[in-house]
Amino acid sequence: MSDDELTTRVQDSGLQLAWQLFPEDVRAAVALARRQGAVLAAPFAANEEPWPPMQPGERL
Amino acid sequence: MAADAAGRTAVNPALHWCTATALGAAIAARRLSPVTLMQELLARIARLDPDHAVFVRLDAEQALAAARQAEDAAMHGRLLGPLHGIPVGVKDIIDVAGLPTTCHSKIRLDAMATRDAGAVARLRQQGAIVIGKLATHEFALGGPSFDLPFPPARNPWNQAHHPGGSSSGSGAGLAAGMFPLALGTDTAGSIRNPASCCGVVGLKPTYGAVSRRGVFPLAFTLDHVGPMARSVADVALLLDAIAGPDDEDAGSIRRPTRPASRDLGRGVRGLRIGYVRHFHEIDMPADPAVAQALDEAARLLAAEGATIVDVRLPDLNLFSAVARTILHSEAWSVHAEWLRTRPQDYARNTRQRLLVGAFIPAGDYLLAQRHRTRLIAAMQDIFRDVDVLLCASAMDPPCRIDDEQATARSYPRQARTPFNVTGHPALAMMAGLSPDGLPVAVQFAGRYNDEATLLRTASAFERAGGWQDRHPLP
Repeated sequence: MSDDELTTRVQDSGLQLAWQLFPEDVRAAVALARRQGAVLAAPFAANEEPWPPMQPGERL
Repeated sequence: MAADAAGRTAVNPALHWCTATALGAAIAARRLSPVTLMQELLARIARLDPDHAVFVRLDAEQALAAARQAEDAAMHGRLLGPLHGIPVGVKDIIDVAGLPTTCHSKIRLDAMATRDAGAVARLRQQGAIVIGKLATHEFALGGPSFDLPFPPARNPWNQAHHPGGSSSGSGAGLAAGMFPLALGTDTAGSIRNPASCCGVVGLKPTYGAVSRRGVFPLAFTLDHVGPMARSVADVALLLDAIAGPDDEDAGSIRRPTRPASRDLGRGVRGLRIGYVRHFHEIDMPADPAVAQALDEAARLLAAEGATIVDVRLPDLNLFSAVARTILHSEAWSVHAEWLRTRPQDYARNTRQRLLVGAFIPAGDYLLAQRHRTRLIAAMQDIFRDVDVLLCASAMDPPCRIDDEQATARSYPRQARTPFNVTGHPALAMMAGLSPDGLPVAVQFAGRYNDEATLLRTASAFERAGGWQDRHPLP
């Protein structure tokens, strides 16, 4: 992610002060969030297709 | 043998190692004064706490006053319940009226509680006495931090080592003999981690079984309040005292009122125990001392008459990813405003973890919840075939507390979060010592609302293993 993109994300989240004081913490948080997302996006089981969009009536 | 102020003999030469069950019986029979008990524990705390940092706030004066009232009531035959006169430590994210709930944080140093949390109110109704507020990780997250208003608790087995967390003071204080019972909270293993590291017993009950009213939230769909003690029977005693519905906790459940302690002496003959080997053998290979303790637990339970069967659940790493995504997202919703306006007031550890939630897309949170639905179904399938699960708690013995990399590595290397994701009850307890003399643990999990069978199994293992009588201090 470029610095411009990161700055936009930070502004969207209202975290300008954290970005100013602790930029490395913010970078690490963004990276971890992306890694977690990648794990979740994998199929539930080895023989399955990736997740379809949520279906009508699907309950959480 | 100790004697109380009236010269009556007490129950044990080492009062501080007595179980709450034994202490309660002695108080009820007027063989032990609650004042004697409290004075002895306060003296022990004064001696040991400077090296263990268990207490954020010791409430000695109020505790002694309550002990005097309890003694007077006992002398007049007015026992409030099985916990009459028993000291209990409370993790400092749980409200106790008249004391601040600091969450071990600079941000809440002056946050005075005006009302007892639901679980604390139940404790007091049963006669228990709150002895003080106990160390945690900041907001029950992060890890042991040295940049907070209070130091982190230390492991009584070796003070250079981590006592686990986030209910650190609860685990360390029990292991040091400072109090017989403690309340902890568990969002991703925070009761069972210190129970494992400190060689005591910790139970995360079924989701919703114990009220969370008056408990500072971390992640509202994963948070649990639960009992910690030095014996399985005491954990059952404490669970029976604090469990019950609460209209002020939206996650609270109504369930059968049969006592969790009812089957403690039945043994495991006839039970089917599923052994989840792949968690610690394949998904997240464990330290040899942990693997050996697990195999030995399976062997002992089989010798006691249980049928042990290998079972397979989804990959532990998937449970962990789902738990982390939900935890970070929900925690962000709690902390967003403070992270925006005063990020410098958090410990570095806590800030780094809480910030993650700001960058998790809503789609990922939903996907984690969809995974969760299927993980719950997979767990429920297993429990159609077995009564109890046996698996790892921590994958490693406790690490040094001053080794930041080692403590950070220790948090994901565990098999506790699956049961926060699914809400099933789970218990961790001591199962041996590492070559360095530090506790290693096993974990048992049970069906929803069947803590009785879970505790029955743990009790049988406790008798067979004999580890509950090992203490780190005289």
